[in-house]
Amino acid sequence: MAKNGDDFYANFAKVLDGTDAARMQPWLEDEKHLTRFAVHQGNYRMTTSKAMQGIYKAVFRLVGDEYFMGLMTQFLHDYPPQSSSLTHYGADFPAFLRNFSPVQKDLPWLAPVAQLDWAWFCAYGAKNTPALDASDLLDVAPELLPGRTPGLHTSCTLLRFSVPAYSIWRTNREDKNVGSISMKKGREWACVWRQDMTIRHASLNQAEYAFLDAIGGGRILAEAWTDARLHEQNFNLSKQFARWLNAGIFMGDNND
Amino acid sequence: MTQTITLPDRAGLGLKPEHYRDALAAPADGLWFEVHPENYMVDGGPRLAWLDAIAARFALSLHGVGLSLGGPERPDPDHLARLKVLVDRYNPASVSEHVAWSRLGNTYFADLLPPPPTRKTLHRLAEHIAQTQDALGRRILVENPALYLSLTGDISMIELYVEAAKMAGAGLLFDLNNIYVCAHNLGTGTKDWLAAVPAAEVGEIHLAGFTVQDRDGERVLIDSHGAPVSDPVWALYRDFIREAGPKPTLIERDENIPAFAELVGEAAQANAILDDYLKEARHG
Repeated sequence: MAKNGDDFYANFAKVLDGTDAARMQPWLEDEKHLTRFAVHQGNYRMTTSKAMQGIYKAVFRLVGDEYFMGLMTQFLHDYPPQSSSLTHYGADFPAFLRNFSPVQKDLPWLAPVAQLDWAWFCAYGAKNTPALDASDLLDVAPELLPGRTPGLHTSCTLLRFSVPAYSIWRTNREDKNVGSISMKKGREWACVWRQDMTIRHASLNQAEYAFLDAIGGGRILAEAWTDARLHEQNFNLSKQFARWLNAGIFMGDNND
Repeated sequence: MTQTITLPDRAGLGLKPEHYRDALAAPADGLWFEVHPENYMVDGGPRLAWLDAIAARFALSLHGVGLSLGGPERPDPDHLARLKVLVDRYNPASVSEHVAWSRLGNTYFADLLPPPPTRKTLHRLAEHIAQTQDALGRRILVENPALYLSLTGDISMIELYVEAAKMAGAGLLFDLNNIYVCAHNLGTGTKDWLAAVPAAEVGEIHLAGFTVQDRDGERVLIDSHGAPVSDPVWALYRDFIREAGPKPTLIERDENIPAFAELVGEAAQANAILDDYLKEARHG
């Protein structure tokens, strides 16, 4: 291969992606060093894998080191990092898992668990915006409350699953000894958010999900209540509003 | 370019999240901390809150790994903008980066890759350092690379490092573990590096440990920051301080993270060498 200017970088990049290092021979003083490109290939793979292990903790615990590294090899090839800060890497991992046929077939709960890991990570690094506080509502007449659009806090992610992903995720994130989860549990709904500096998460029923989803969509409390009642006729608006207000899940009054 | 504080000529530690509490409780006493800014490029949350608290008590150094100064393309403006946010937030005592590349097109390779040691690279590297300094509004230090490959070129890697910094008006971050690793892996000596690096331009020293990989029966030293500083690197450090005088000195550890107290012990070892120099200087 002829040696030509910036081809150095393009060829090096191909080697990092797994192509034979022989293409770099023109730029080496010592041919024996061709095997050492494996050091850089390993660094690239390990650095990104470790960053992803730090984000996808439940996924990592569920599949183990070897399987995770195998997933990472394919993910890295399909979705190489685009940002020079790995704090922005990995958003595509749940979608990758959803479409990766071996996972689709054998581990249908893995992509949903990854969504929860990502939601946790997003809440962790979300902007420090104040949540709506009871004191913000002191001047609001009770009859006007249903007309308000509190919105959800910037750190909040709502999720719904056709499998018991929240139960699987929670035990793998928090329990020393992982509990057994039956797939018969079926559908689950959850939310993950940050209250001050603490990451919080909760299991929801379908009515609570519908209520918070409507609020997240910018709808007024009365409409959110209507949505919730499609799933639970006795959905108690005052009780639910107070619960989530105390949990810091609504957007503060001073936020745009 | 303004800079109001400088790193003390004492030992500092690379700050790891598992050590936040210990770090915050440590006696200040000349101790300082260094972080990779890339790990703090988030909008908010606990990580920035911890760094706020640490930076309020200790001098801080931001040591970047993602600008790809030795690459063919100018530093990514988005990355520079995120770095500027952190520089403005913390007004760190030092900002540094590597003589390495890590980005091509839209892909970030998450490693410090060696640039080809050529005059073309030299001019481009100097330009990228200058662009970074312009964007940040301050002088930076650049670090010598750890090398595993003997690359062809019309200048040496030492020349690339020293001359690019000089052309851009930047300072030097001199990593003594890297020169030890280079000398072993490329069959050269550490003396060439020590002779060529102008001590007056060195604003910070890095000390770290290496690990060993076997490549076709060959022993290759890896700059993994995964072990305590080795004896030969301590010897290089003692020699360099004897010639150059005291310098801010970082103990780096990114793998096999030990208890905070163990790193404090390594920092004490570096401080003892700095103290020895001062004692000898006082006694003529």
